[in-house]
Amino acid sequence: MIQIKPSDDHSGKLLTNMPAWLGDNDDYQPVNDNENFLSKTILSVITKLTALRENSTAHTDVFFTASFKIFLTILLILFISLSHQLLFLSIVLSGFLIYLCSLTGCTILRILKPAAFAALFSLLIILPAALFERSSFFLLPFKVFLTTGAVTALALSTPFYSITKALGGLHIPGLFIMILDLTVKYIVLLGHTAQELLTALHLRSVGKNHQKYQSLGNILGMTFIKSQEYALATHDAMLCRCFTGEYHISQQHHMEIRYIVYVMIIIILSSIYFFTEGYL
Amino acid sequence: MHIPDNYLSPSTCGVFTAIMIPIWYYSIKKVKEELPKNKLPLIGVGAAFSFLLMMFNLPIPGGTTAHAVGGTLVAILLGPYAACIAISVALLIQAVIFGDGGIISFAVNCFNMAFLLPFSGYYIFRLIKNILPTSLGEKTAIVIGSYIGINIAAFAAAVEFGIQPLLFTDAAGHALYCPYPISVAVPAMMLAHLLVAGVAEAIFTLAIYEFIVKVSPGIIHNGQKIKTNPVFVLMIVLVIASPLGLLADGTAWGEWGADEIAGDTSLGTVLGYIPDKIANGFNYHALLPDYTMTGMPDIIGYILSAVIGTAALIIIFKLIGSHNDTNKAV
Repeated sequence: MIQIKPSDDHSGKLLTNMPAWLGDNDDYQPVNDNENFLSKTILSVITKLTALRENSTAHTDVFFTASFKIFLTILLILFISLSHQLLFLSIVLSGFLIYLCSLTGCTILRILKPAAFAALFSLLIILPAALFERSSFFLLPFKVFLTTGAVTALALSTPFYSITKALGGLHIPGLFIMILDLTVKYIVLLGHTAQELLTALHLRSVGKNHQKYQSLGNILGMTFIKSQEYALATHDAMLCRCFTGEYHISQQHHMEIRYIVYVMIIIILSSIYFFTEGYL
Repeated sequence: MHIPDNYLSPSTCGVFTAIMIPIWYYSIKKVKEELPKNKLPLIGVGAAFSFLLMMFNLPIPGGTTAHAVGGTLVAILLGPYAACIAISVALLIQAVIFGDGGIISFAVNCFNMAFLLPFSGYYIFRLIKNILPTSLGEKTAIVIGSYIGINIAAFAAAVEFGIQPLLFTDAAGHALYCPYPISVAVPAMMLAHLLVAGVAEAIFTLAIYEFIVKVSPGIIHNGQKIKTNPVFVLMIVLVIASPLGLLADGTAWGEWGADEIAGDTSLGTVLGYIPDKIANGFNYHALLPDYTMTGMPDIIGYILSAVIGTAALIIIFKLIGSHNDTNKAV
């Protein structure tokens, strides 16, 4: 607010040279705007980015390689899906709970949240079946809980770069790995861009914005245009570095004690499955 | 001591729920105020210990069983308010997942085992420890505190059973809920707990307390290092040993199923009828009833139940601990 008082002669002279509106009191009061939309969006983008960044620096277990963890998770999901008995699922559940006990509260929450939501969702879907089949209708939500939990635990305990590396080692097609790899990296990159745009909008917003959805559209549109630019830049960078989209992982496997442990774990898991399901 | 559903009238359970709600509220408040944040997950460890101790069923002459609770142990380690919460959560998991103790009678069980037991045990322990401030005095205090604590809880349970036939009978004079009057319930419950469960509680409490003082004094005294690994090793040993609880194959007094009660001879003769509400009352199907799983040997079912229950308790209190941390950070 600017206020000029013609108190003495000197300033009075000044005032005569100025336009009249400059002498008026500026009593602009910005209308209070509910900026929940902006602050909430920024906060959620930042939370997701922090989670991804934490993941990229997640400590790598020295003993259990990413390849083994992926193989074990796939095998576990296969067994859980094929299992008919509550016994096998209960054994997996107890193993899963023991694993969770060794983690911190925050990590446990991050694993349990998606698993519980997925289980709840499948329970809702299967609820009509409960009218006809009372005994085993909860098997499906139980299985969904365990498989989602296993995958989330894998994702949280293994950084993305070692997952892509391990997938290369497992001879998964290069295109698939590249898409996965780029997607993960782009989520971080575009998330950053969106966050910066949102912050810029937040800083420049004065008064009431009646076109919130338009602003959101502008930001998303801008992010999309940026993504095109990034994609071109990535393509150029790939050409410069002679990257053809093939992931060649040099594999030099020496016999190590940990491989024996890996084989033992897989044999034990398989035998528990075949024994509890009555195949042995 | 786990009172099943339909042994007490819903009105009795309602009264105890009304008593327990302010106790839970005050305990949570006190724990938030007094317990250091780094000790919050330890409530889960305490709850897990209590859960495991309750799985060790001990045979009682006459064909029934009883078990220790570990309430005084948790109260001495973390304070009576933390013990109240820990044992309440352990009882909730037992009731919901394992069908041990009723859903409607949950508050009654909490009153006996999560309120009376730890508070009386703890204050008796404090009293004796103040009178005899030596190492031997502390041991004596633990033994006497835990012994009296569990017996007070058992006496309360017996009285709750015993007043049912006085208050609720049908036209034929048959009891609607628990059929045994105080004159039968009190001696039956007290004999089991004075002779066996009380002794077991005292021995377990002293042994585990001494072990924890040796390996991880930080749990008891503030400012010292808290080592949880040896505690977890002890827990694994207890989990593996839990099928010993199957050796006592009777049912605890007052925990019979509807099919068992008609043949019970606590009154001197066979009861001969199933009380109406026990036969036709509220029926809850637990996920793993009686710590067993269909289609597998009892021992494996028991161990799996012990693992699932223990791990679930530790996880729950770790989650609560982390929730408190984030609240504080925000």
